[in-house]
Amino acid sequence: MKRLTLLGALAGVGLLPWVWEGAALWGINLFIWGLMALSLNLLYGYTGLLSLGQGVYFALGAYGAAWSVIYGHAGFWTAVGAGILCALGGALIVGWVSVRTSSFGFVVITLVTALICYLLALGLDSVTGGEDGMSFRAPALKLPGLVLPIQNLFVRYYLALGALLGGLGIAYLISKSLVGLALRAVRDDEIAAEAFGYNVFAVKLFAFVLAGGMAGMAGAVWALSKEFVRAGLFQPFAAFVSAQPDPDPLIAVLLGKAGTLLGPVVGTGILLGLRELLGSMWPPGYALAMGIVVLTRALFRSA
Amino acid sequence: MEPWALTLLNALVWGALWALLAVGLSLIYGALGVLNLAHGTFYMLGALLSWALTPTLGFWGALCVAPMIVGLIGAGLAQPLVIRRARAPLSSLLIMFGIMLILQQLVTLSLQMATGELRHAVAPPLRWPIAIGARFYDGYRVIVALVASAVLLGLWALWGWTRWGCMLRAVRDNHELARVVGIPVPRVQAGVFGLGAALAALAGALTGPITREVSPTMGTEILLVSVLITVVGGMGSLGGAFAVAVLYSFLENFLTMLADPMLARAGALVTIALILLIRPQGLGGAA
Repeated sequence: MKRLTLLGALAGVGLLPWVWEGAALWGINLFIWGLMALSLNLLYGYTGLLSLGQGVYFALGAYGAAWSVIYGHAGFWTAVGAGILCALGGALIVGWVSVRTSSFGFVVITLVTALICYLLALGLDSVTGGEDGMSFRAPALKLPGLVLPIQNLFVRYYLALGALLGGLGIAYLISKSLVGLALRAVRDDEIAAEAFGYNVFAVKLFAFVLAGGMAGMAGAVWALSKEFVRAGLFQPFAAFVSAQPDPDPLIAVLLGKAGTLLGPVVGTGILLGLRELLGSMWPPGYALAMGIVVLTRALFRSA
Repeated sequence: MEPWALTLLNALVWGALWALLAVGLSLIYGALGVLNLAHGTFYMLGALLSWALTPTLGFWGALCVAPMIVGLIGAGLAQPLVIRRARAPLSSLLIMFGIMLILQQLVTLSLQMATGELRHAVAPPLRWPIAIGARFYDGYRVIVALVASAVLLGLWALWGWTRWGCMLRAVRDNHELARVVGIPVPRVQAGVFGLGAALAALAGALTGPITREVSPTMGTEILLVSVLITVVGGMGSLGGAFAVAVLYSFLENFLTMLADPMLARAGALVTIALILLIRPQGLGGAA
């Protein structure tokens, strides 16, 4: 019965753009930012590491893909791979420094990484395009026997959906495996996990790098479908200062349920709906609502 | 010679300002065990309030009153929200994050409604150019450095040689024992939170005429830099926070002589963050 519901839902989502084209754009946003929230959920929900700078790896993924296309004339899959590699590399370096510090030290380093990258991106505007950003023409998506132009809305929709499903698959496999058990052990009690023989540093670093790669995948797909990157992607607290804010992954995770598989995606959907609803009537209400979500979630947090 | 002298002066002025911010954060952490993510918001509130009060009270009057108001706000927020929930670090962090978002938005909204503008120019409170060789240095900045240093010295004296400071140290070292010997721990904690907020607001009020502009977003970057300084200095260690603040300011200002200001700031941040590789608990933190 459960399997049937799942198949039905999947078929519904897969057929949606054919029935109602307007939903496709909304769906692309939901899938890409849902994948982003999923990556943060791996860190915060499963491992108990609160990162306020997950956008850095999204931006690194976007820039990795853009640079490989602009400077290397890379094909589609190479560009996605380059984006993910960029994000993985960045996450490895930052994780190496940050996961060994205390819980506050970790938060601060992830936050400050965003500031450092933002300043670098603004300062090196000949390479990054600075605040204005730079656009490029994305290469066509090549599958065996198929060449699909990414400019086509349907192609973008299924690409984003595929990325999200891939992310969900990884998250599902991890949550059911021994690795997921190790992550949760570290979250629930670090000292006990260490006593059981887990290498806490390695477990945290693994979670951080994996989450970074996933955010990088979201960023690469985002950049290739928008055919545009800008330094503002790195901006710390970008979701709270811009006029047309993207759904913040932390708020999405808090709105859905942290540590569940689909919660973050549902949270992203709620945020997108809220932005749609309040954006036209009373824009400051959106930012205010996000603050209230964080505060109430924190005050009534069971753990 | 002259560019070196000017850079040195700038480094001292900003060092004192960063120290005000970082010491406030470290005080709050020591007493309450929370990382005050709303610190940048208090800084911004201080700058905006002192700008708003200047026409009625004059600049120096506003400089005294604005931090007091922000301190009271901070103490009021601390009582119900922060103190009771400070046990779990992540919960307290999220609470501070929520407070920051809501305060930030309320200030933006009220400023928008009151004036219709978000950015406001700040007039210099006095003109006192100091000649250094063929160049001039803004004398107001020297006064800023002196005021900030005097406040820091006063804080140091309070911390080390008064009954109140003794209570603060007791609360930092052990909440339970402090309660046992009759120290009103929650009241001390609220007081410290207010004091930290007032220090941030003072830094904001002093900075307004240097940056020449106040806006609701002015605290975001300040928050990020000062939390890093506090963590590198060792959470709860006032001396560490002070030392790293000065170090950061020197690095940033002297790197600016070599490179683009954004790259200089990024370089200074990376350099002090690398200290954490050698000492993950921070310079002055307990092992």
